[in-house]
Amino acid sequence: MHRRKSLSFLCAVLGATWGAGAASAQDAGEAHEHHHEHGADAKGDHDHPAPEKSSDYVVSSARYEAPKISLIDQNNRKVRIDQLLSEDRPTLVQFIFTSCTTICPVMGAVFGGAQNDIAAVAPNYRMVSISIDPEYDTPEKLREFAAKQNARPDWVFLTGAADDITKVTKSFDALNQGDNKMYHQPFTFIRWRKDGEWVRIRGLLSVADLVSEFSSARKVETP
Amino acid sequence: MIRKLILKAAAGALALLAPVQAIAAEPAGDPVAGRRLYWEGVSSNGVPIKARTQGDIEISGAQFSCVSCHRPSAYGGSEGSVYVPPIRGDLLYEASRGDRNRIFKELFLEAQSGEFWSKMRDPRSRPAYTDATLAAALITGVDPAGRDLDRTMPRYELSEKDAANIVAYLKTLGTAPDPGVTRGAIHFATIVTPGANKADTDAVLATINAFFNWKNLHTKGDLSSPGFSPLYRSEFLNTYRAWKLHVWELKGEPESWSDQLDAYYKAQPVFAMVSGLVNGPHAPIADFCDRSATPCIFPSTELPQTRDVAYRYNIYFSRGRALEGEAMATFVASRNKGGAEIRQYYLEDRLGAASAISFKKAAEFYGGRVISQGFPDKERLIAALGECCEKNVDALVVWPGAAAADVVPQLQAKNFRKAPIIGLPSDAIEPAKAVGDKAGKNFRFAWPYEKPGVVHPREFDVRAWMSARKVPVTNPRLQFESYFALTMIEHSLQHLLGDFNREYLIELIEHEAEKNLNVGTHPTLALGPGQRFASKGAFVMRLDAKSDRGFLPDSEWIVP
Repeated sequence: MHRRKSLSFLCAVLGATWGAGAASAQDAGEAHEHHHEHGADAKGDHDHPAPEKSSDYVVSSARYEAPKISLIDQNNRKVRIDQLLSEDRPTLVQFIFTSCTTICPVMGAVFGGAQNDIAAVAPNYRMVSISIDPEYDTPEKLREFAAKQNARPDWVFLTGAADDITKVTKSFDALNQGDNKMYHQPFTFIRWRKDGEWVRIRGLLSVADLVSEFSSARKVETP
Repeated sequence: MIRKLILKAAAGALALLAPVQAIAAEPAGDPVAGRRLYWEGVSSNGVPIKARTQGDIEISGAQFSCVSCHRPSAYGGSEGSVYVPPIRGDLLYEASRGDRNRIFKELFLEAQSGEFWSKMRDPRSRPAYTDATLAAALITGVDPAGRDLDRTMPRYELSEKDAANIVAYLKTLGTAPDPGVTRGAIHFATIVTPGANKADTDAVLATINAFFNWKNLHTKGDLSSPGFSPLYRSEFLNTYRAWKLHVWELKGEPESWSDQLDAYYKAQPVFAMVSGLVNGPHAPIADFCDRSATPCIFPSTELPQTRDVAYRYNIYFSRGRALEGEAMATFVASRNKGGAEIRQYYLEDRLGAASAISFKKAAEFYGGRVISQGFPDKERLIAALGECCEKNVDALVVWPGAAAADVVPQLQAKNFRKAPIIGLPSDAIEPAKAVGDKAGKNFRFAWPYEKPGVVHPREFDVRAWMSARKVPVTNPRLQFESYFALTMIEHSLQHLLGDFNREYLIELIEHEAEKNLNVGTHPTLALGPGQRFASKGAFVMRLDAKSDRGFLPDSEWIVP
């Protein structure tokens, strides 16, 4: 027992030591990937100091097929996720959980803060935040989270059965390492047209980053 | 005006470091107001502080208070590839030379993206903060080395007074170990309450003792060969402690437990309480844990403290009997669209009342009509059940409290069979087996545990471990719960690496609980920041004599 544990610990250490190689290999596998550095010239708002230089986020694109299952929205209504995500309108998706302390409040605030600008680019946009802690995130908790971000009606918050949520994260290739939500990564997905490719963004964005990526998503090829 | 000044100062500081010195924190900050700012993100006048994160996102301190990322411990952590450094005063006010051991868990024990991996290896040494440079960093986002803080760290529009307050609070946070830790030992207590089943108590204590012995044997081994250092162990020898177990046996009525715990604690402070078998309300123990800031980690109890537990010191497996009541109400509602006609009978002891109260509330929420009757003793409950029920009742729900063994066999009366659902608690399953499948075909039991027949991979490991240590497995659920509680302590201490802080311990448990350490007592065990119940749902079971354990699920996993 202890021996087994030591071995797994050793693997973890060695894995971490060699992680750089593994990580770049993994990154190389993502199609059309490019690193972005945004922020320095993001917004010409003279009332505020210029935003600091952004850390990198990683953009790639891929096709995802949402499972044909129903989730529950913040108003306790059933929502077929495949139908929601195949509506012919620009759609933004993120995975969050309401008790998350570091990155989800930022992710929520980015969507919240970008609503005006996103609507200016595409008034028929749709935002979707999907909880990866569905048993804790009841519709009521989602409503509280939505209220904090001044979410508009075009922003849907979803929870559901744990297995169903796993199916959705899996369909977006966004499973959490070790199946532990505490190891989740900040992903944002953007799709412009029905059946179009999804832009996949890993990393925390500023509002300007999100709006810029959203606007660029229009150019992503459709079949 | 203040805002303008700050922005001006901030812009100046970004351009040139010299003006940073101009923002001097008032010498006499108020640590109490600073603590409030840390936790609630509000100014000394109660108004949320404004801030900005990621460069351009306007936010409120109420949403982005210090505690949300730097955590109650102020030791920080990492989440989703964002590293949050510790900000305890002792650490801020000493020069940082990039101590690898301090970020060991982020370097080696965390799942990481490539970006995070490289970011963690960025140079991060800096001179010691002073009151002035600390206040400046909070406002401008520039550290005393002239380096920008991570852009996720909000830049706060703090007044001089608020800056002085938060600085004063951070300075109260030292790095000395919390009580219960000495140079050589770390003390833990486990609770045994009166009235707990003797065989179960012995089984739980045998498991805990075996774990402590095993742990200490390995510590001794590592300490006796310090030169032999695979796995970086020799760098952490000063963080090793012998684990000392104290069994705190409580006597008499629950009302007196809290005082008894105070006396035990006074005689021997412990770093945390772990596992334990609680027959009766956990509330007096929970009160003690909150009062003394002692983490109380996964006691086996059916009556946890359920109110005001978030972010406090008690961590439970589930909400116990209250959860059973709610799960049953959800089940009844799912079988009766448009509202059910329900009769509820319960024994007015703690167990019976806990389920009855939560059942009624939830059933009425779903539109059910509940006529509820409580009884002071089992005789009167049995007598009343003998006269139950009128026709057209959709569900009869019985919470026999501690008297399941006496009450459940009485449910054979013919009239009960008319109710399509006879709802019962989990501990009614064993006495109900005597009633038989036929007479008990409408019996349904709330079951907040894993369903029969499901084996979690870790169960094999733990059974082998117990067998090797000659610990008989007589009550698998209780013993595996104890083992899980101990594993949580063990893994979290491995991550604490000498920062013996109780809030930090709890934060690491919140972080670790969802790893694959569940021995199989519950379908999943997972926490999150501030969450205090690791398992959130229940099955509803029915009798089935042909199955291995005599009962099978009649529902999916219900999360009320």
